[in-house]
Amino acid sequence: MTERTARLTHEVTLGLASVTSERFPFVLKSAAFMAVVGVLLYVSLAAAYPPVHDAMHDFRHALAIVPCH
Amino acid sequence: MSYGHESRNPAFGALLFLVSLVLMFASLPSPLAAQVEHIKVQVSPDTTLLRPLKDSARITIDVDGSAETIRGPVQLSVRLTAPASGAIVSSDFPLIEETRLIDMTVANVTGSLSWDYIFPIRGEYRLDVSATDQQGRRLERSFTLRVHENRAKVAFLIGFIAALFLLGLVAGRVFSAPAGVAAIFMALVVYGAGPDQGLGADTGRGAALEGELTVAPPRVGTPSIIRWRGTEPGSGKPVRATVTLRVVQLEKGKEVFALHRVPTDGTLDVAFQFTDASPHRVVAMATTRDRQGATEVARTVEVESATPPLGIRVWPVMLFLLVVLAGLAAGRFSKKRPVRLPWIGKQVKMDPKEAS
Repeated sequence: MTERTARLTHEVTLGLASVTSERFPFVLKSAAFMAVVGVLLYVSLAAAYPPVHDAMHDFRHALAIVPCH
Repeated sequence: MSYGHESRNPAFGALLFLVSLVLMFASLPSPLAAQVEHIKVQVSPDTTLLRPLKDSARITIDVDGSAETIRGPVQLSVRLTAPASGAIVSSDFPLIEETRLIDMTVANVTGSLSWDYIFPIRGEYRLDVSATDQQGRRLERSFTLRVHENRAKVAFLIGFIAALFLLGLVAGRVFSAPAGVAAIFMALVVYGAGPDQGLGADTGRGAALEGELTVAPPRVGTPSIIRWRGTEPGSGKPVRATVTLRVVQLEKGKEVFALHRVPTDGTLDVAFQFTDASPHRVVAMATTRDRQGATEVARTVEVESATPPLGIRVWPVMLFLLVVLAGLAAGRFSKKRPVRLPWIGKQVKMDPKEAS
C-alpha cells in the first residue's frame, strides 16, 4: 500500500467516523440509514429493470404482497 | 243417481276429462324446465383447503342439482372473475385483479360440466353461471369462491417483517452508541448490500378428424381466446366431437387448467387468462363417436407480461420502510429508557454518552 493510498484510507475512515459519531445528530444518521434501506428495498422489490426483476422474481412472489405482474 | 250435466252427455264428459288432463300436464314442470331450476357448484377439494398457485381444484357445475341424473342438453356460460385488490396491499398479481379469468360457453351440456383449475391469487372469486335450455329459458346464478393465502408465504412475510424490524432496532441502538460502533454498522449496511407475437394456427392431422388450435397472443391481465376447430378431412365440414382442453405451465410443469370431455359441434371457444408470464402449452384432444382414434393438437405460447403501475409497486416498499422506522424508534427508545436491574433492585439510566 502506497503512502498516498494509506492517507486516503485514513481520511475516508475519519470522515465516516465523524459522520457516525455521537456529535452528529441521531436524526441525520437515521435519515441516511433509511435512505440506504429504502433504495435497497425499492431496487429489490419494486424495480422493473428486467435483470433485477428476474433475479428477485421468486423472492417477490414469496412475500405475497409485493406486486410482480 | 245424477252427477250433473256430464252424466247426461257422455261425449261432453269425455271431452271435459281430456281438457282437464291436458291442463293438469301443462301445469306440471317439464323435465327441461326442472333442469335449469337448479345450478349447483362443487369445488373439490374444499376452497378452505386450496392454496393459490399450488393446489388444483376440480370445479363442477351441475345444472339439475344432481350429477347422477343426466337430462337433455343445455347451453352453459361460465365466467370466472378474479378477486379485488386488498384494502392496503394488493396480491403479487395486481394486473389480474378483478379481471376475467375464464369465459366460456359450452353447448349441449348434459348434467354437469367440470374443469380443473389452479387459482392464481388469494381472495374471493366470482363465478357467474348461466344455463339456457332448448326452449330458450335461461337461469343465471352467481357464486363466490374464497381462496386463502399460502401459509408458507404468510410465514415468510412475517419473518421478513420481523427481520426488518430487528434491523431498525439494531440501527437505533447502534446510532445511540459511540462513534466506532456506528461507523462499523453503517459500513456493513452500505458494503454488505452490494449491488409471442401473433400466433398462427397449429393443425393436427389424424384419422378421425382434422383439428385446428389457435391461441390469441396471451398477455397477463387480459383473457386470450383459445379456439379449437374440428373439420372433416377433405371436405372441411365441421365435425361433432368431444374435446378435452389442457393448459400446462411449462416452467413448473403444472396443469393450470383442464376442461374435460366437452361436447362440441366442431367448435370450442374458451377465453382464458394466462396469469403467469412464462411459456405455456395448450393441448386439445378430440374424439368423435363415429370415427375411431383421437386427434391431438398442441401449441406452445409465450405469455407477455407487463409491469404494474408505480403507485401499486411502491406501497409494499413504504410499508416495509415503516417497519424499519418503527424498529429504529424502538432501538433509540430502548437505549434511553431506564433499565431496572432485578438483582440490585435499582434503576440505571442508560445513556449513550455514559455508555461511551
